[in-house]
Amino acid sequence: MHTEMRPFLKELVTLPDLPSHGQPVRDRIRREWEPLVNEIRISRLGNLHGVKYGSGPSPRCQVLVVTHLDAPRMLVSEIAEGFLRLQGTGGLDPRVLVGLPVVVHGHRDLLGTIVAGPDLGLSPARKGTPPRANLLVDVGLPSAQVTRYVRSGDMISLALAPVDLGEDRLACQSLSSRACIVALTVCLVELQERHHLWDIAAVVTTHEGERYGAAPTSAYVLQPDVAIALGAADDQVPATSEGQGLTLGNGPANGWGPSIHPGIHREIQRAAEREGLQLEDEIMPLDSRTVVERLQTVGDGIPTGAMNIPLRYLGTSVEVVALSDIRRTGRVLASLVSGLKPDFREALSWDCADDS
Amino acid sequence: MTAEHMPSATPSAEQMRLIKRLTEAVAISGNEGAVRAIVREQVEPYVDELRVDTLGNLLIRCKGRSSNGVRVMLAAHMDEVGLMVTGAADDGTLRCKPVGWVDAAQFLGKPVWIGRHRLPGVVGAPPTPGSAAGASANPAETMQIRIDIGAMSKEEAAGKVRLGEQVVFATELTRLGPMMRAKALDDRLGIAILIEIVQCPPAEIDLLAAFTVQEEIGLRGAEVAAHRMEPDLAIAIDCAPARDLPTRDGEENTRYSTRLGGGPAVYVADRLTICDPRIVRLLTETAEQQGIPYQLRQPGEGGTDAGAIHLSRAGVPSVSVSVPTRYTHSPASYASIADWRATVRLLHAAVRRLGSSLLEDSPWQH
Amino acid sequence: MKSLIRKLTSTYGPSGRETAVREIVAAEIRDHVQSIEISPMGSLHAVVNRGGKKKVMLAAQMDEIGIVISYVDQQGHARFHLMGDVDLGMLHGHGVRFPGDIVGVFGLDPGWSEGKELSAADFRIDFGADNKGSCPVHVGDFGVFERPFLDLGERLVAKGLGGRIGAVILVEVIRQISETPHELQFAFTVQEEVGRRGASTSAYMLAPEVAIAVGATAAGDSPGKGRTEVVLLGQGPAIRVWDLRMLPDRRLVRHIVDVACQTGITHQMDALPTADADDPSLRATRAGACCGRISVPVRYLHTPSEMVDYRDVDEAVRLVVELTKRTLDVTEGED
Repeated sequence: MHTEMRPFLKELVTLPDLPSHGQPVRDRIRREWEPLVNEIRISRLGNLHGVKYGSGPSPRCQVLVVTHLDAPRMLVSEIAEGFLRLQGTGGLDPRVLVGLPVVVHGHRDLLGTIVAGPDLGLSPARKGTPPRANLLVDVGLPSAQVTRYVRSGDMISLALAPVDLGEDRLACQSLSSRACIVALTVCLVELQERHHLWDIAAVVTTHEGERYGAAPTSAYVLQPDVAIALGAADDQVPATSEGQGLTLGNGPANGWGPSIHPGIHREIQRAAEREGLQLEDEIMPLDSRTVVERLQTVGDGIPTGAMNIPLRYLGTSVEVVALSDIRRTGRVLASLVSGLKPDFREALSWDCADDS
Repeated sequence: MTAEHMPSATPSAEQMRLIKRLTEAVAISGNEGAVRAIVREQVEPYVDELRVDTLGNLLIRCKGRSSNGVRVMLAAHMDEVGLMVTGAADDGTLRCKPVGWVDAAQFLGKPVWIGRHRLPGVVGAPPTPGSAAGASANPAETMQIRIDIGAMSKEEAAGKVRLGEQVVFATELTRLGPMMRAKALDDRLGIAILIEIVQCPPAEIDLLAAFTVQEEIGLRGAEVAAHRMEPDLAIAIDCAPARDLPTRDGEENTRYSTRLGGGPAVYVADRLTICDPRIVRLLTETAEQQGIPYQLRQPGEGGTDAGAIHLSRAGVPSVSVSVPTRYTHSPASYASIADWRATVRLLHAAVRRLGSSLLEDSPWQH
Repeated sequence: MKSLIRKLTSTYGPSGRETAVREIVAAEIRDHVQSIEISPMGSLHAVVNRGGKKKVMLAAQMDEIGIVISYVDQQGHARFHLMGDVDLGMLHGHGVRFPGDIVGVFGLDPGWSEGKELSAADFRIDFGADNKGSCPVHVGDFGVFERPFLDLGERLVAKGLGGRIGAVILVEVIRQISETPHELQFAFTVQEEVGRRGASTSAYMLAPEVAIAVGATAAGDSPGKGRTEVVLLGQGPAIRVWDLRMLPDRRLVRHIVDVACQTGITHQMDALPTADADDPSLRATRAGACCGRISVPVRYLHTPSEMVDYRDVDEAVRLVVELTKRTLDVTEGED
């Protein structure tokens, strides 16, 4: 699987995420998943649901593993003399924006670059960073042509090619979503060979870059018994900051905090041990960086866990992931699913944390 | 409603002991087990249904006499603000992060309890300018809370305290004349009040008591509890900050919020909820009829479990009632014993006057 | 429609106290809808063509921005807390109305110094009383701006325009609808100004598949100021493409734009960087809904003297009516 992972990941990062253009990324994932699951469909809001049945007797319990597809958007807010003003940063650290190649998805796809306009006397948000209002996209075309092809609201995506770094690492934009999707795919592949009683619902959500992401709507429809949120987290922790840092090449991390059910945390730990792995704990005391918080309070409440893949330079155009972390994540997920017994849900209790 | 069952205006020794146990229990958001155990022991003999849900909420039902009684949800939260251990430093101290809205500076120079078994620790204060170390006393840097448990190395500290362990102020309850001083009066007082109501439930309504979790980090327990219980109306029982201290220059204190000694504080609106005016009116009328002092909490800031409950499903008419408390979210909060007792008495009387006709009253219906 | 705008904006209806507004709306639409239902929070739901293909919710708020009294001092002046996004820079000298025909005036504390950030605590309300006992209001009373409706021909000025214009449009749409393939759920929601609270509970009750919110958006073309946004008065209803908390669904946006172009309705795009509305909770409730927003540009939003261009309102009504006539095939999904 390792050799196939890299080309799949590279394909996913180069396909843009464009809901109004037929969603090429989601279609590619769907094609990859179709032979691996029993049911596959698109939800009302565009989330991808793939369900693989377990072999237990009906009615079976279901574990939802959810990850997201998209990042916060970047789009055209207005056209000024042939240049395009930006709305949003695509979730990127503003320091990296100037000089990035982009594609503008208007009536036609146009290549361009993010540039800094002249200083209008506004003070910069951060010393050395052009204030966001000054960022423009130059597509190199005369003004009349630009207005013919582009209008306010059109999406902009990044056009950087992924970079191989040594045997195990890859650098690119949008890795935080794509790496998790690949990990989830690895899990589905592993489950073809493993016996599991529970159903698994693999879900890739849209609208994730927004505060009210669409993951809860999938949980509402699927009504899972357990939910695991799969995400990415920063591996770099400056010396003065608080809390834990994840270690690239030593992932994934097992989430712990109020939004994590202690029983699920423990189950993830056990699943990793069965694979011969010891996972780092990631403390999430305030709001977690994945969607797990929102999942926990759907309906009458869902027992939730979180697993995060370490990423270096998260939020930039050159996020770095270790392929071995992706593979390990997929294996731990598969081990988790295949380890779930029919009575697991009933036996689950918040106070099990006090047993340790 | 019979007067002999009305809760007393002065607390019994047993009631004071319960408050002591509750306020001294260690239970931050996400870790409410210690309080849940006490509540369960106190209410189990009195209820028709009891369950602990996915997040750890303790959900209770005391069935009303009639089959179509109004479903009334009363909520109080079990969690307190505190810290969570995020790692051990090389010098043997523990690194922490706040859980809930607490000013980390409150911990400086204070003793703390770590974990349910109350391992003692202290939080040192960074050196002030001009001292030998010369580091700044900037409060922003106090976010790096370090707890000293007397360990000499990272390994020793990690061996004694688990990653993710909870930390609270180390305060025992003390009675100061008419006041109580303790940590976590917010909302252990509310818990004690709700326990007392459940132990003598009204016959006319379906009482749904929710001892909720994770209020301090976003009303998370209340959200799922309300979804499960589907009440017709709700009352959140909490503690409201009282800022009734003297101002500089003797100016009028226009932002006192509530006053100690003024009785239970009934909410009109806070940052998260506009309280249903019909229930507010019922509470104030009940107080006046029963001769119970009460006050209106100044509208504006703050929030209670009602913030989540009132937006559940199709919406739930809600109100909050609080015991005024000074210095909430600090090692030493103060409340008046008389206010606590008046709050129990008001709620005891008010829940007996709730009926479905309350909600049919205009202005909501056509 | 001007008289409806006048009637609705003149009505007292801050967040949490929308009763009078709801009664007017109900009276206006009663003969044109199949059912009227009130939610536990006080929102009004009206259905047209129940059982139609797909449930489409059209939502507008009923509340306006206002204040709530927090203190009455020894001089008989009141202090207050904001209920909604009130532009504090515009308060001094303006009138404020309470039920029972009680009116007062906002006054900025003379001790306030330029350069210090304005907060509600820097203001008093003067009722002409000279001591605490003769002040006509109490802690917990809700107030709204006081200013008369002004018809300047094409342009209208009133308090509460930002709050009420969506409701005006939907009432007018209800009166004009002829045929529609969908089940149309009109939701006149409460408590939008204090955090979009009515919308999520209405979405829960109605469980729509598509939800279009109708309301106001800030126009960036106030005279004398540098242009900061791209939405202008007189350029037609604005179709939102960007929002602080969520993105309107692309296919829905495209569909609305296409309909506007086909029917020759003047329109503009709204990509306001700070815009915030009903929509996020509409999106994420239950199984979710495909969301969009149509707004009327409003100058001086969140002040006592909000201004709209009447033609924009007219075009907004036309646009919504045209949308209801056509099939909205915009959800993804294989339901």
